[in-house]
Amino acid sequence: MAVRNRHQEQIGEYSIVSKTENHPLHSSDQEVWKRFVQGDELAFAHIYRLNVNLLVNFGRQFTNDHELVKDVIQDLFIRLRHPNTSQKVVKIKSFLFKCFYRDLIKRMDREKTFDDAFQQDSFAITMSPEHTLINQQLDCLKRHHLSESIEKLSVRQKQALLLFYYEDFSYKEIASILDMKSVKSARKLVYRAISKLRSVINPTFLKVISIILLIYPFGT
Amino acid sequence: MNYTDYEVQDFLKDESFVAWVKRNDPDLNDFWEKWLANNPEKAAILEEAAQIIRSTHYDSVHQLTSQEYIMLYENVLRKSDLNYNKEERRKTVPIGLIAAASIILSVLVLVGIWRSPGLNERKSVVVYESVIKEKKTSNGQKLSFKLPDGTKVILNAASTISYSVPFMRENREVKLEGEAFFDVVEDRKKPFTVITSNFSATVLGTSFNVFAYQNETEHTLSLLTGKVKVESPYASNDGPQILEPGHQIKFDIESNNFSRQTFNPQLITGWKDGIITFKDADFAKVISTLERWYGVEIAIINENKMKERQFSGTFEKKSLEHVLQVLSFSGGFSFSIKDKAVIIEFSD
Repeated sequence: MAVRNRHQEQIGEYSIVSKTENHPLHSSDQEVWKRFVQGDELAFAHIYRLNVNLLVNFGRQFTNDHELVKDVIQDLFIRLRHPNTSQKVVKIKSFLFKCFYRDLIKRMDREKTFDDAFQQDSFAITMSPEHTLINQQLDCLKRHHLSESIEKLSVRQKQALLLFYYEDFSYKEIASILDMKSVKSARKLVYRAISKLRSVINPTFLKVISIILLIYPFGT
Repeated sequence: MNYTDYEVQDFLKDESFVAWVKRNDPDLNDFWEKWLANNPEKAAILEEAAQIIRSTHYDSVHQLTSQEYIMLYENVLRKSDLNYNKEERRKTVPIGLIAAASIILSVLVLVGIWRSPGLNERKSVVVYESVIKEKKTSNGQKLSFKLPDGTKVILNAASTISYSVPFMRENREVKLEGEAFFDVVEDRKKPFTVITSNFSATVLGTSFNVFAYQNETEHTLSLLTGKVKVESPYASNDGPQILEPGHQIKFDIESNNFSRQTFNPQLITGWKDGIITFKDADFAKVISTLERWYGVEIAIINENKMKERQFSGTFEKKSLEHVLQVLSFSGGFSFSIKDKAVIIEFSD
């Protein structure tokens, strides 16, 4: 059974194999960052390629203002390229997300970009089926129930689930990106979201439902 | 902690498990493959949790176009070079010289769309570098924001607004394509002007709605408070038009004529609160409104069987399906919605 999808193409991953020795693609985040700080243009190109669209997409969940999102990303990269930059960076993606989130919120505050209608459906999640599925256990009905209960989550909870499952951040990284007091707060956020989905994902729940349907097939 | 007692929701909370599903990490692979081999009865639970993790996606995905991707990269390189050079210079050249040099080097960017009448007289020595800012919405989107002077703008779907920064030098000018609602901050010294493809409107401090989509034949300005002066180089009417609150001015693109009437505020500005109102609207107007509002494309089958009729109705934050359901009764059509494609079919 293939639980892991080995050929999954993940934009945010750094483990892409390259044949050239000493190529940034070959190195860890810390090494890439070190080269970037030393002024290696190849390292910057690498960081830009892997992250710019992830940041655009993340930013556009907060606002419809595409130009503003682009502006904030541009300013962030310019700032990081400044010769005095000396931050220690362990994971580039979460470092960029953290800086970007902080900058974007500041700019939206200053330019008073607000949109109440938009806020409600920001960070919408879709449970899209995978293409490479071998045995589809998550049947249509369940997927439908799951989507329905996900819609009822708070924006913050949806945000946390996307950062955890889609962006592949750890609890520690989520806490740092979203400026939370402690790792515990990030954990709590995800836990609460999952317990709201529990009635749907709990297998016994569905079994009970199907037994009821078997006994009372016509709802009498 | 004991993984053998874990249910789906417990695995969903587990960092190591989530990381294994998402990444191809040799250490995690080693552990979880061994664990799975030892607990084959847990395979179904593991699979379900993994599927939930892998099917979680953003509902709307936004990317840069390849042109934007290139531009952003180039901007970053160019501007960080500038910053770097500035730093260097500061160390060696006296500040007075830098100031003088930067005044001489500053370039006045003149852009054709700012049809400023007094341009030729304005040969002052002090020049500014101005940048054009643009705010844009696609079909199905709305955007509200404040201009640098504090004026509140709500931009309807498929619309673009542009203005130059710094914004408040002499006039406050914005260029609009599409529809927007303006609540203008009063500044008697600096009039506020909205320029559309057919007319320009100048105000001091008011709130009004401008409807100027390129594919529509009637462009309107509807005034809620204050006073507006509307001008058009194309209009056959004489001189600028002064509008009083509660009145609407309509520019007919075919006859190049301004006409005035009163208007129902909800009908005109309801869109900013999520309300669609049709009043005696023809079918084409209904279709173009719905396409913009919901970001869909509507195809019509058997248009020749459509009876000439007008549509009225108010919909507050309703789904497209609901709106079409209601309209289909009076319109005598059936419809189907598949993602962003809508088919409307008329029958006898």
